[in-house]
Amino acid sequence: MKNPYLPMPVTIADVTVENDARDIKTFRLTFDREEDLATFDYLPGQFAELSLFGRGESPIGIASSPTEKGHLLFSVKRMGVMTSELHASPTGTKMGVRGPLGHPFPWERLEGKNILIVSGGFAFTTLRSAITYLLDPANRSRFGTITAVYGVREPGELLYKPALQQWEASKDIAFTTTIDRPKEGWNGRVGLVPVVVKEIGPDAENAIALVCGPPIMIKFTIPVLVELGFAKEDIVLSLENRMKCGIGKCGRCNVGSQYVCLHGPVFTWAQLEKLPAEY
Amino acid sequence: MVLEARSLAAFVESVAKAAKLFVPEADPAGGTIFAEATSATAIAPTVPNTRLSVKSVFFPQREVLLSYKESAIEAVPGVDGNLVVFGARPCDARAMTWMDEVFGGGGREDPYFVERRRAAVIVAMGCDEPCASCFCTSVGGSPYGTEGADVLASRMGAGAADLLLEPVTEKGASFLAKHAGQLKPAAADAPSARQAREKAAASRMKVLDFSGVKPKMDAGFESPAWDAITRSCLGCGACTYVCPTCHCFDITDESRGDRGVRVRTWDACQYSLFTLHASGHNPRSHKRARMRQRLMHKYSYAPETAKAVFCSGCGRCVRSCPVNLDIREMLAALEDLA
Repeated sequence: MKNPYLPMPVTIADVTVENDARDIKTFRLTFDREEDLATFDYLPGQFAELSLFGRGESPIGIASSPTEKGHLLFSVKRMGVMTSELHASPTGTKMGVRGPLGHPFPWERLEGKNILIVSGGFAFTTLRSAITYLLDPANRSRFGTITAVYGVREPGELLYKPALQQWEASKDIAFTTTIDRPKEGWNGRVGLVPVVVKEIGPDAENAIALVCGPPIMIKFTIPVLVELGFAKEDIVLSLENRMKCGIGKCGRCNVGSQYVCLHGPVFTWAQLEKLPAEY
Repeated sequence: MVLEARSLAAFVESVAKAAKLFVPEADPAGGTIFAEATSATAIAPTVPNTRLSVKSVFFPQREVLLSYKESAIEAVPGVDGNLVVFGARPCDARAMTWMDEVFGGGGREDPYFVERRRAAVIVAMGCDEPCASCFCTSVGGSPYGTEGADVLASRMGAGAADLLLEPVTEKGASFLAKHAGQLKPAAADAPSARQAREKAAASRMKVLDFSGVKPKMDAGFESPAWDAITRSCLGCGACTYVCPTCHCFDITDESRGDRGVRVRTWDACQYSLFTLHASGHNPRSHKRARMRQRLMHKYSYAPETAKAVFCSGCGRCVRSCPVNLDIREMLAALEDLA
């Protein structure tokens, strides 16, 4: 019987400071054992438990795409005991990963569809995974148009800046970066994410929307998408809740009868609308 | 088969030689709990039921998942040998079948729980003295129920010390065959006499109807009734610790120098820290929401995900509550929702 509580040994191969506040870092992890690299079979939208013995575990969305071979990326905000220790850990540090956990975005349903990606703030991480996966030359032709809106409060909060520049220049994706309020030195778009989505007005015909962001962004984005004609089944969201086991046993991340770790973290708005708003 | 009182010591010795034997033992904290047998004296029906349920045998209150040195795993504890639990009440044995769903289901088996369950024989003890707080017959159980049991043990008569042992599963039959040297064949009329005692015990409990409570809870998620029934709750979590179906746990690291253990411990949905996000946001920030979680997990969510009400009517939460909250009264109050 495979023991789901045992982390796989990994090594921090690289650390990137993502934001001006320096409290979000992206960790590139490489597997210490060949067999783990071979069996860590994931799709964008899934998460894993990062482990530092003595400090515990944290559930973090996978920011890399399975098309990026040989390593995993996790963007982690410094918050508590474990993530603070992780932020203090240099390249070469040995740690652990348990996963992949949860369900990914509905990739079978996404095939052949036009895709709208809406994201705000720090929740962009698994959508970085999704965009990278979609734009991979081997995958791009399997999908229709790709439109993305990514908003933060101010430019210093933008993650993955080199990739953003590439996507903004790419013909394979209509990528819009926006900030909440005007800021000196910013020549890009200004406006709250739901407003910008409405202005861009993507066609809901044959389209599915992937939406990740803070609750306030979700709250105002869903009515915009519904107005644009997106069916509730075609609005796909990802939830977060406090987790320990990550496999539907420890009992804390449920929303109604559904465990975010096991049945989610990806849910459609049609599913969520029927569940109590305990998230 | 019959286990005579005078053969008890030899029987216990025989069982304990082949397996770890868990029986209700007096606990310094009061009442009885399941512990490894140290003498024959403890094998007798416990009244009231053990203070902690039989879940503690399979899902200990504190358990080491792994030990580590620096960043490497040093050891992972395994299950050593067979287990026999003697004297679990039918309500507890039945509850373990639902825990099998939790720990064995969801596509990922929990090896610690599942391996202990596979290695175990449960001898359930028929219940002749249901307490005022017991309500197994209201949730589909019975004082002599055999669900989850491998062998059903019952007293041969009021006050009798001899026990009738009847196999329920193949595992139970081979257990009895293995220890047949300490057992006597039962008289032909023993099962019918047992049925009469079962009926008498069941008749001592009032049967309540909770079938309407799920739709009422689902529709009344925001009802002020939750406030009303939770007002006196202290949030101590005692109800969850004594419950045979509460399975929530925490995982923490305990280090000393560069070595340590990753342990899991019982946790409870009644604590605000249980669901507190790192951001400070808490989806269940009020005790109303936490009590709703406890009752709805058992009576609404589990019927959806595991096709069973996760409550065996053992009554421990009723007996343990320091402010006398009674789950039967809370459910009744919710059923009365307009």
